Amino acid sequence: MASEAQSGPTGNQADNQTGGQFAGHVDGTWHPPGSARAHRARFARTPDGRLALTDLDADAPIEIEDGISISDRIAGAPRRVTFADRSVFVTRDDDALEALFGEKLRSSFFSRIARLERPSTRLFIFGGIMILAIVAAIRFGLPAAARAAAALTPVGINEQIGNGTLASLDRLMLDESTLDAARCKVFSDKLTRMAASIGLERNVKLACRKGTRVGANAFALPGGRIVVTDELITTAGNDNDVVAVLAHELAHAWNRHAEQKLWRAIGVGVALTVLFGDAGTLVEEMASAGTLILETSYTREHEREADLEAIDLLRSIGTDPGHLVTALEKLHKSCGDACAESGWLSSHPGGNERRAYLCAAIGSSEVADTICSQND
Amino acid sequence: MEAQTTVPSVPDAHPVQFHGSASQYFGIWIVNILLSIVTLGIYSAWAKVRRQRYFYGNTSVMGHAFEYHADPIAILKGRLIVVAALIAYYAAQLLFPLGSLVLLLLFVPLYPVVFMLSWRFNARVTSWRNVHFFFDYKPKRDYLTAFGVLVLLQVAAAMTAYLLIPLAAQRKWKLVLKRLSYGRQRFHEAIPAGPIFRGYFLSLLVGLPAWIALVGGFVLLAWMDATSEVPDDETAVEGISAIATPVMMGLVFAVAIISVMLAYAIYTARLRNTVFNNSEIEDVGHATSRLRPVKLWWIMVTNTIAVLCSLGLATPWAAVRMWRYQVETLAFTPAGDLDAVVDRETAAGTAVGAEWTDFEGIDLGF
Repeated sequence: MASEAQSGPTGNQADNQTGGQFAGHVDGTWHPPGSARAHRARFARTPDGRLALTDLDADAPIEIEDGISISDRIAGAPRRVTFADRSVFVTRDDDALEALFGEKLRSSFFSRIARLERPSTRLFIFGGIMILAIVAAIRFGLPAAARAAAALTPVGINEQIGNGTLASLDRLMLDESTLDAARCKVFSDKLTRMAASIGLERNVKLACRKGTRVGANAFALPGGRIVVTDELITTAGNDNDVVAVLAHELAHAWNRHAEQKLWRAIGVGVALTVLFGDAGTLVEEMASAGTLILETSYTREHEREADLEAIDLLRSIGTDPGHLVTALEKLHKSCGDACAESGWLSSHPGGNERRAYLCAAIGSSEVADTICSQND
Repeated sequence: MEAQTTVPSVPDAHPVQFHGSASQYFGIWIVNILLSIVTLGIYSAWAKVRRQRYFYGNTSVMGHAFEYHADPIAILKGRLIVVAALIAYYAAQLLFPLGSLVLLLLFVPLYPVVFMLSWRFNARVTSWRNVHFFFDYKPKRDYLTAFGVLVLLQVAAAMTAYLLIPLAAQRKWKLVLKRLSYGRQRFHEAIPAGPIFRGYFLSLLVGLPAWIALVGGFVLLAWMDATSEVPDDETAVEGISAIATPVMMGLVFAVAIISVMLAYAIYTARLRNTVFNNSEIEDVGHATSRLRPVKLWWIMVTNTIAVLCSLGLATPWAAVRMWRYQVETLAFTPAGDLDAVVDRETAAGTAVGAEWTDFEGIDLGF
C-alpha cells in the first residue's frame, strides 16, 4: 500500500549537473519501468528544493516525472519510490528517504506504526499483557458473547436448527418409538406442565424415539425440542425418574445451552482464524486444542446448572426432586455397552460428584432421604 | 603434445540471504495481532501485507530483495468473500443439514479455480529486481487439466491407499511451473517422480508406526473415557489404568507426534529439493535447494516446544528461524543477462486490468 507523498516538482535536469551541492540525499538503485536493469542512483533535493535523481555509475542525471508514490515503512525491507512513468527507486535507508520528504512522510500512518513496531521492553510487556487479555477474552468474553448471541437469535431460527438436527438424527441414529403413544403423551404432559412454570409451554415439545444407536439417552435440541429414547424410559422403570431426566433437559432448553454451544463453536472458529490465521497452522492448532479443553469445562458447568435447576422444576409440579438421584443411580448401574460415549452419562460430571451436590442441594425430601443416606 | 587439463569452472551459486531478526519481527507481529483484535479483524489484511513485506523484503539474492505488492484492500475483499462463504455454509448446515452436503460437493469443482487464481494473484504481487512473476492461467484452456491433477489425481491417490501421493505432488508442480514465468522468462521443469516416491516411502517407514500409535492411543483414551463411568467392569479398567497413566500416555503421544514430524520433514524436504533442483528460468538462471530433513525436523520440534512453553510469545522467533533456514538453503545460479529481463505486461503498457479483480487476495496458503 502506497501513501501519497507530495509530488516533487520535475527536476529540470539541465540545471542540476553533478557536482552541485545537494540539500539532502539518499542512495539506492533505480530501475527503468518493468525492467530488471539496475543502476546505482542517488535521489536528492537540490538547494532550490527540487527532487533530482542521478545515475551514479554513468554520472548522469535521470529524468523523473511528477506523481511519486512511496511504499510504507517496514523494518529491514527496502523502500520503493515509484515515479509516474513506473520506473522505481529502491533504497534501504528509510531515515534518509523520510528526511528528503519531510514531516508529511514521517508522520504518515504506517511510518508511525513502524516506529511502534521497533523492538523495546515496552513492546515485550505489551505482548505479555496481550496474551493475558486474549486468554481472559476467550475464557470469559466468549461464553458471555455466546450467551448474548443465543438470547438474541430469533426463536424461529433456533427451531429450524432444532428440526433440522432432529431430521438428520432420525435418518442416522434414531428410529420410530416402539412405545405406546399414550405413554409418550403422559411424559409430554408432565414436561409441558414443568415448562409452564417458567413460561415455556409454547416452545417446549417432547419427541419419543427408539435410540438404537444411542441407547438410553435424552437431550435438548436448539429451539426447545427435547428427545427421549425408549431405552431410557425402560431402564428408569419409574415414571418419576424419567420426569426427573426431562426436568434436567428442560433446564438445558431454558438456558439455551445447545444454542450457546453452537455460538461458542462459531466464535472460536472465527476468532482463531482472525487472530492466528497468519501466525501459522501450528499456533492455530494449539489454540483450537486449548479451546477444546475449555469447551469440556463449559459443558460440565452447563450440566451442573441443569441438575440444580431441575430440582426446582420438579418441585413446581409436585414431583420429588430425589428422583434425580435415583435416576442417576439406575442409569449408572445399567450402563453397559449401549452406553459407550453417547450415553446420557458420558458428558456429565462424575457419578459421585453429581450425587453429592444433588443430595446437598435437595436437602430433605422423601425419596432423597432414602437414597442420599445410602452408601454405595 | 602436452595434454591440456581443463579445470571445470564452478558456476557462480549465490546463496539466498535473510537479513531479518526475531526482535524486528516481534514488534511487527505484536502490533499486527493487537490491531487485528481492535479492528475485529479488518486490519488483518494490512497485517498480512506487512508480514509478507517483512519476510520478502529481508530476503535477497545478489543484493536485490524480493517485494510483495499486494493491495490490502484486495486481500480484505478476498477474506470477506471467504468469511461470507463460510457463514453461508455453516448456516446451511444448521438449517438444512442434509442440504449442506450438496454445498460441499459444489466446492469440489471450485477448488481448482481457487487454486489457480491464488497462484495467479501471488505471482503477480511478487517481484524481484523490479520484475514481477507471472502465472498464465486461462480458464478455458486450463480448467480441465487443473481439475484432473488437483481433484481426480488426489482422489485416485486416496483410493490406492495414498500410494500415489508423490505422483499427485509431481503433477501439481508440473501444472504450476508450466504456467509460471519471471517477467517474460518462462520456467522450465523436468521434475522426476522417482526421488519424490523414494522420499515418500522413507517418510512412511518413519511415520507409519508412530501414526498407528497415535491413532491407537486416541482410541484407547476414548474407550477408557467411556468405560470409566461403569464400575462393574473394574478389573479390566484397573488393568489398563495401571499401564496407561496420564504421564505415560502423554509421553507416548509426544514421541509419536515427534516421529510424525520427522516423517513430514523427510517428505517435505525431498519434495522441495526435487522441485527446485530440476527447474530453471529461461535465460535467467536456476535455483538449488539443499534442505536437510533432520535439520528441518529439529527446527520444527524445537519451535513447537518453544511456542508451547512461552504460551505463543515465541511464535515470531520460531517463524523467523524457520523462514531463515528455508531461505538460506537456497542458492541462485545466474545464466543470462539479468539486465535484459522485463515485465510480462510492459507490452500492454497499462497497469493491472479488470480481469484481476476477481478473487484477488484469496490466498489459501498454496
